[in-house]
Amino acid sequence: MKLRFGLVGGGNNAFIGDVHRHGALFDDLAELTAGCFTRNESKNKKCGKKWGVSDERIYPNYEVMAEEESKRSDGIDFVSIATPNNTHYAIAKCFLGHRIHVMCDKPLALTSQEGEELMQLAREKNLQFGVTYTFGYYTIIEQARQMIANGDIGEVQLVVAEYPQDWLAAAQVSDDTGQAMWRTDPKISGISGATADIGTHLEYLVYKMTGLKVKKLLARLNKIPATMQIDSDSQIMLEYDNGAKGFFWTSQVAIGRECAILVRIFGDKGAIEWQHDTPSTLRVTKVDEPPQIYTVQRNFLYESARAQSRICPGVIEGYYEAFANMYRGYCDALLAKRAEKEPNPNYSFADVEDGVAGIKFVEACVESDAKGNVWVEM
Amino acid sequence: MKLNYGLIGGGNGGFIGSVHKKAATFDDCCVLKAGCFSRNQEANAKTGELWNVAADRLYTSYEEMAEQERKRADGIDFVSIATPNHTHFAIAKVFLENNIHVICDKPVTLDAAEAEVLHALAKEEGLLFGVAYTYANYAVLQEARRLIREGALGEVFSIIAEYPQDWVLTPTDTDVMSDWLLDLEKTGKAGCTAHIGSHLEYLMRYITGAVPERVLARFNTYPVNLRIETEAQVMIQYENNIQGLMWASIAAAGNDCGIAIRVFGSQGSLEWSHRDPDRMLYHPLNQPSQIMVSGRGYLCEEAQRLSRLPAGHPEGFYEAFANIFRNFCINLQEYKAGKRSIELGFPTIDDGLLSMKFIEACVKSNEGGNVWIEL
Repeated sequence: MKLRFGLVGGGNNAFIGDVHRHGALFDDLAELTAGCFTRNESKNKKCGKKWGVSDERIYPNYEVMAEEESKRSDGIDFVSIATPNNTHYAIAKCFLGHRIHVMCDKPLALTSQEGEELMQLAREKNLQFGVTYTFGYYTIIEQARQMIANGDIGEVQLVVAEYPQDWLAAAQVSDDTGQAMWRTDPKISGISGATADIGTHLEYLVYKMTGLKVKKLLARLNKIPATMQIDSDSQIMLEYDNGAKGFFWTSQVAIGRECAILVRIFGDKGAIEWQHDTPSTLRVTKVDEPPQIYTVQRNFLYESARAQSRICPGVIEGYYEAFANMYRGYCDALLAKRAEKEPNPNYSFADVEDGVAGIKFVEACVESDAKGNVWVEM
Repeated sequence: MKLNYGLIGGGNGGFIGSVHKKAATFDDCCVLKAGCFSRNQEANAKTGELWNVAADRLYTSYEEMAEQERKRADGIDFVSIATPNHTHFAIAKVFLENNIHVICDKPVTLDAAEAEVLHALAKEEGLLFGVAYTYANYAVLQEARRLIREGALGEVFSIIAEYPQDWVLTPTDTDVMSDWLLDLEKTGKAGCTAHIGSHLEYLMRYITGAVPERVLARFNTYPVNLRIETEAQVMIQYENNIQGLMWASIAAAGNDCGIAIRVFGSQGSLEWSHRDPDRMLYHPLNQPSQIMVSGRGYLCEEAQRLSRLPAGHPEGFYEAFANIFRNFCINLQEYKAGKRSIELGFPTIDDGLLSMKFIEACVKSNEGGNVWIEL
């Protein structure tokens, strides 16, 4: 029996909502049976119809949706929240209150207080709550994680990561007000722009690969151009709980870069590098040996890494499939729980606790910058 | 109104069937309504349940499926064929005869004679027939086509393409590849030339518009005990003095799916690699080289159309495959609305037929001591 899920957001040609939908459907573990896709009534109906949702399960707002779905014997098992940042908390709280599991886009909420409240609520009610930190779920990342966990590159000493994009620079030139509008408005986006929007992805990705937690950080948040209300670029120095030093650069105005995440993990015996532009490969170096390129689905990978792939070597599983990997982990866990079995150990997803860590990371960065770029303990 | 479709294959964990299913429904252009996923009743039922196909539209025989679906008012508009090569002809023929449009995996048949039959039948019945040449459907390649079409490369004179893989050397890596691929009776007259050479032939022709006239081919087999060629080196002579060079190998150690193509002209060249399918390198003569990226606003309309995500968010194999289905469905909707002179946006049985002629010519060339054979 498949899981049933609902989607809040995604109508109105928004970007990430439809990606959530594809991700959840991809491996035939769940079906979309309800939604509140947009507050525009006719667009909502149209979207729902296109996506095969029956009319009476297309709701005008999330409150009614949570209420009605919780009453139905065939109500949704979980909801996917793909709305702008400032609405995540209220929507998630509402569904949790109606005993519906949640998968929420990042950031989890605008403040760590809200995030912790959601986590507490989910735990109390024994509900599963995932957060979609996509980049940690590209197929080859599991190989990196296993290698580091197994000491293949020794003790992690240095982490250097960047996430440059240029959509904001382009939007400013073209006067495009689509994404730019809400992401640069603190009322919707929160206390931070780039650091919250993309810095958190770096924070999670490094954590996913290394298992390391940030102990303290020093951040410089930049408003480029100066008229911006929130940061569009940031530089962050970090120290991890094992003493490893880190450095992040995030930018939404780095012209010539689309979504060019690059993570370099340096250990005392070797190094691993991954870049989003070539998502199915890993650059692995053991000290004093030639660097090697690892690719997906190959025999020489760890078993759990091989288990991430759906198709043969050399064929790229991209952004949609990374999303599908998160939903696969999430749905597998939920189905396993229902069947009172153990979930597949090869599949995973980011939990609400990771979402809280992400918000705290952002708050620390904002605090550090506000205080004149000083070290802030996590 | 979405189109209804059926799927043949995909039920026994076969690789491409599941890909067909995910690709077909990716853009919500059609709904899977019927299937013959496996000849095994149980496997068929299990797959049918997984993919929400009603029990009365699950068939263990494709002949029965074609006949029954034809009779239904809500019968499928098209069928997707994702079975081993040697069954394509019979299955496609039955569906065409029952007035159902077809999309079929490649190579479309075992030989050119069979492909001719399907080509004639599709034309006679006025049916659409698509063939799944996935690799040509990455978004940025539309920009490559435009550059060439608009003369940015000047006069094109050389097309060099390769497709190295190594799965025949690494059997345990390739549990998705099946034994039938090494059996000439099931693949047709050729091995890798049919299996992957056909992808290259289409890619080279599709991007440049070049029309192949003759080929000179050399087949090699490593490991030597196999019955089929695991490597093909092919010289191609196109119209307008364009020369092509193709290398296809399934024994090229260290290569996963390294399709690459370079097109050279008097004013510039371009290159694309499947290792980085969202990007294309454009080298205008005497100017800095450029990297063109999928999803960007500076690309032509046809390229932008094929990207679903913002630039920098990789769309891979599934999405390239989905592009074929999306274009097929758009054309089929136009057809159903009564349009007849439709500009087809997907690879057709014409392309499938040309592939078969190409493969046969390569076989003949190799057998004849690597001589030029006219297409």
